[in-house]
Amino acid sequence: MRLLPVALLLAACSGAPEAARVRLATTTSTDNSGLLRWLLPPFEERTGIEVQVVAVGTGQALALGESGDADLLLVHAREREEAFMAAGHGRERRDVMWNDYVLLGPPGDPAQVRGLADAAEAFAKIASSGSLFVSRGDDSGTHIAERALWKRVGGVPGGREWYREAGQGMGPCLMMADEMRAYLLADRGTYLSFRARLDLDVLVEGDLMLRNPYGVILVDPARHRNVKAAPARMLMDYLTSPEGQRRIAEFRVGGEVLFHPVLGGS
Amino acid sequence: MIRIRDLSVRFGEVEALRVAALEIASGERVGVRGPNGSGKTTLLRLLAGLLQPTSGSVEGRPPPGRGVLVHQRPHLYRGTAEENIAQALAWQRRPRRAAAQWLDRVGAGHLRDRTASVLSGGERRRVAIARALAVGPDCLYLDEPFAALDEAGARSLIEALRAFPGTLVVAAPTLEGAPIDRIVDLHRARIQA
Amino acid sequence: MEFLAEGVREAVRLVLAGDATTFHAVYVSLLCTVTSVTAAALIAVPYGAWLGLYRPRGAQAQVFLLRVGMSIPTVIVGLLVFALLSRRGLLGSLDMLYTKGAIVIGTTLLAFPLLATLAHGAAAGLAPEVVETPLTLGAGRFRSMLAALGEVRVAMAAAYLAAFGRCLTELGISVTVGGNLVRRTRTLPSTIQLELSRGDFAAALAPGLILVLLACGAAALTHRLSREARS
Repeated sequence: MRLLPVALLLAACSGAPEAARVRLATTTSTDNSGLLRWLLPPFEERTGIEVQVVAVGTGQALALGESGDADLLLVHAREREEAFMAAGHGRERRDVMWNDYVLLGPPGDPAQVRGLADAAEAFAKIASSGSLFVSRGDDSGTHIAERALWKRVGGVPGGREWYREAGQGMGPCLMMADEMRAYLLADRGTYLSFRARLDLDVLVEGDLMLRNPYGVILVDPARHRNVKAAPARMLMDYLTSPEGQRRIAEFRVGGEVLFHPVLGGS
Repeated sequence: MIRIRDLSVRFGEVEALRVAALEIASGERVGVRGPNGSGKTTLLRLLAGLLQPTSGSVEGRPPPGRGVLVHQRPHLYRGTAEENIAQALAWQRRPRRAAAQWLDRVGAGHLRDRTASVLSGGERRRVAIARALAVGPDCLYLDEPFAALDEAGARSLIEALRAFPGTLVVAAPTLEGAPIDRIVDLHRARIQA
Repeated sequence: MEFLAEGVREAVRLVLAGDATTFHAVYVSLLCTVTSVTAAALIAVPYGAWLGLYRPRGAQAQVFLLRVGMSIPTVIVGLLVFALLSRRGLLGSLDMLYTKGAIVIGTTLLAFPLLATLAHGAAAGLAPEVVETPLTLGAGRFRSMLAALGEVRVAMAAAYLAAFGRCLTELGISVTVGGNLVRRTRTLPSTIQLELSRGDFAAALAPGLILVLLACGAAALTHRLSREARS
């Protein structure tokens, strides 16, 4: 990132009058994890660029990119990201990090899935035992990952009495699963921040299918004139730089690692 | 026997009525005379049980339904004159069919199918009095019943009141021709002993 | 503008195609709203009218509390009901959280102060003769109150429709205590919110159009009623 001070000098020489600003659209679960409050301040201090974080659902974040209302996207929905790029809305896309999902459930574990290595098998046991399962139901990254697992064991159980599609964010769904003593697929970060209030256990974790890769996408400035491409690129560079990646790896919640960088990690 | 002693009715700081002493025997026909604003309406509402004294005592009042007040500006509900009376009869669980005859007795039989909105002030009052008579009260309190009545109307009303067997209290600025036996004067909201 | 027009076009198409999930949301919205506003009215209207007609001791304080109740944000009501019905709450054993019943409880609490305040206002504005007439004719306090309410029934119908509109369009309660479960507790407003978060503008506009239609219907009804009363 030796280019950074040079770029800053150039920007200063070009006489950028007002403080530069990047609008970063990301998902609510990413924002709720607290990662950005750890990751962004060093960047903002050094460059003087203000990062405006807009945390919405995955679909809405991508929509903001399409309409040019966001300059940079940080999302975790690989298929939809690729469709976004294929449709020409993004100038560039890079992998940046991954976190993981965990299958939560009541301590009593009626479907007996505790400790299974294969998440899909756990889903199959939940279906066959008809145990209560709460789904995000909102086309979020988490919901997409959940659907992918159902597809491996016979399809999404839509309409079944025990399958409750909530259409809400991760936090409310965690509370719902807690109240209803149901199973739920959740991202580890949000789970950790709610853990103290919940009566749910982590029953399945570590399966590769439970990995959740993040992509950072630069919105194509050619399509929308008011996209702040230069500062957005600087932010993207920071996130994928060795320094940024190290900072991601250093982030802890309750002493636990949440996000795994793509550089130098596995 | 209704007995009032040392009674005062105040609304906030204003004294609307003061009665040192007043007695009304059962079956008596009393006129309460006084100019406008002298407290006649307040006295009638007190007697009818719609108002309570701020201080002093009043005993022997028949309860609402047994002692009936007809307001100076009576309220009639939606529907015809006959329906208004039938409703009152229903409230007291009496047969509704009797409604029409009471209108005849106050000389308002021709008004039975008219609704309140088309009645004049005097006509409304006659309907209201017929309504009060219909429930057969022990006491009847009338607030200015003869105002805005023509000769014929006044005559049939007087006849109906003469035929009324219970206690009668009539309040008005003048009581000429009213079917009463004695007069109580209200001076500036006061009745002396 | 083109964006909006396209959304409207798509929304109309969705409505005409009779999407089952959307119409189930209509059913949930209407069922919960009618149940709660009616339940609230049955108690709130006589209560408010009683305060306005008979002015018992403490009436002023109660009217004040009702007015405060009217201005409490829906999210707070949602929070209160959630705390009550949650497993750890007082009524947790009823297992009512995330059901239509929970929504009805919440929206009834929402409608109550509004209906009572409007009933109080209408009753207090009546001439004293209106309630004194049945009283003096022996109708008793309760029947006299009903007779007086009959005189302001148009205002009461308008009050019902106002409460109806408020409950139909609220979001904070139905999502918090209902859970937005598809085909169970998902209402029209919460469908809109969900579709917006998915970035699907047209799918958000379809239930939005239905809501607007229902609101127009309620407004038209109120208008009709008040014109009838004036004639």
